[in-house]
Amino acid sequence: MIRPDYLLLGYYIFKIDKEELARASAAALKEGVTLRFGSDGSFAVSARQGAQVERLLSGIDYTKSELRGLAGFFRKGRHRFGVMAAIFVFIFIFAYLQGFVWDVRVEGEGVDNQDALLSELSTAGLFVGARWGSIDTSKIEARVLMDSDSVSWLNINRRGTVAYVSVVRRELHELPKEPTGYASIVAVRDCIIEEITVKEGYATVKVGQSVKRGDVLISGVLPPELGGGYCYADGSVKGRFSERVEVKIPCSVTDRVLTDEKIGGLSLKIFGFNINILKKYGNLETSCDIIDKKEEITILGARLPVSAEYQVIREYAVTERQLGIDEQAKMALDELKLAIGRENADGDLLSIKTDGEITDDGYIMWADTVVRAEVSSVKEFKLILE
Amino acid sequence: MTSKNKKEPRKSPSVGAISDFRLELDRGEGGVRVLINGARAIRDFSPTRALVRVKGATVLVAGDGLQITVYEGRAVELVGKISGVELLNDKT
Repeated sequence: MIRPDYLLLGYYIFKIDKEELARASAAALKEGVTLRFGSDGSFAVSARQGAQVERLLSGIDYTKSELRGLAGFFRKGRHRFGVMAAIFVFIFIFAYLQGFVWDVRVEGEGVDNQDALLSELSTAGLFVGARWGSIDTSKIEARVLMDSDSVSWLNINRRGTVAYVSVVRRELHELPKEPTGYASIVAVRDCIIEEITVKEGYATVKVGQSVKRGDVLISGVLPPELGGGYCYADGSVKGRFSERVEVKIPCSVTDRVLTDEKIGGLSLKIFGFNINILKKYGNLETSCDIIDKKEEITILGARLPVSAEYQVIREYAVTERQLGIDEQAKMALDELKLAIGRENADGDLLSIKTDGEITDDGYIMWADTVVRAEVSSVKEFKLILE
Repeated sequence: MTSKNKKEPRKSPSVGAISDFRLELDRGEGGVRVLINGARAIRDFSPTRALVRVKGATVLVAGDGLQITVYEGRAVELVGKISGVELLNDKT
């Protein structure tokens, strides 16, 4: 492996016969020159030491390569003025462009409207094409925080030519309103009472009592022994009830098979300007997916302000497929589990019994469940004073 | 008053060299590495054998696929599949 300083400043490759390795290494040791000999008798020498090594190898047959590395490249190309000029112009332009913002990227969860934030940043002075020298990140951060309603914290970091904006969204919490008026707590379904917790009001049922939908569980009308009057009842009542959850799986399903994929439109975006190259107009197929894609160009990890945006149109054919009994039963069981989970998300499942039936339309599966869950609901009432 | 024109002495290649013989043996890139400090001359070298003269002795390194690197400061490094290192007394 060639040393990095050799690559930059130039080096020669010398080659001697393997039989001369002993003489050459002895001469190098005597002269105090560092040389690493390869098994084939070749070794690299820096451009600066080339003449010294040639003197050291007097009496030994050797071959010397032309100057290599970056220095060698420029020496070879010194008569090709056009190529050298183009290289220097490219290096100059690349170095000059490093002083501009090539991209602004927003990082942070919960930022709903990135376009609005980018617009605010642009107004404050941070946009694609802005000069880094004219950007004061502290002032921009302060201005955006003052003007924006959705951001509670903002930080701008520069990495190369990209501005990374870290954002924390502002969360607005509303204070809970105190209830006004009067209300009772009623049952939302037929059930057997399992647990009552009264915070405000008077419990009109007991644990173990059977109630029907609409029955008052905690009353907002206080009895005389509790001082009488009316209140906004508050509390929680849990009951036990049975219910049936049923699902039906048809005998056949429709499958979508990809038949064709084509490009619907193509445009180039350079420094924010859009150039349409290809665009299809008119009605597209109804049974298709349209996917918007974006390809960005990076060089040595730096993203260029040039990207290609295109549409991919995927067309599908719809086919009908018959389901076997086993497949129907499996799908029905999966659907049933999901349905039971949805129905009893906040409750406890005490028991379950499942069964199924094959019909002409498909496979029906049901589950008879016993559930313990919250069964109360607030019902407000008004006083009519005559 | 006479002024003497003093000539700067020529810098010896041995300046900074470790003059005492010292041998280090460890694993390196490409196999086992032998580093000989205080080397005075290289008497012989081939991919299977190297003879390095040090003060009062000669170091014989035998092996296969030997590669040699010579450092300024009188150090010689041998890397390869080394089968043996022997110190041959000059007097024997």
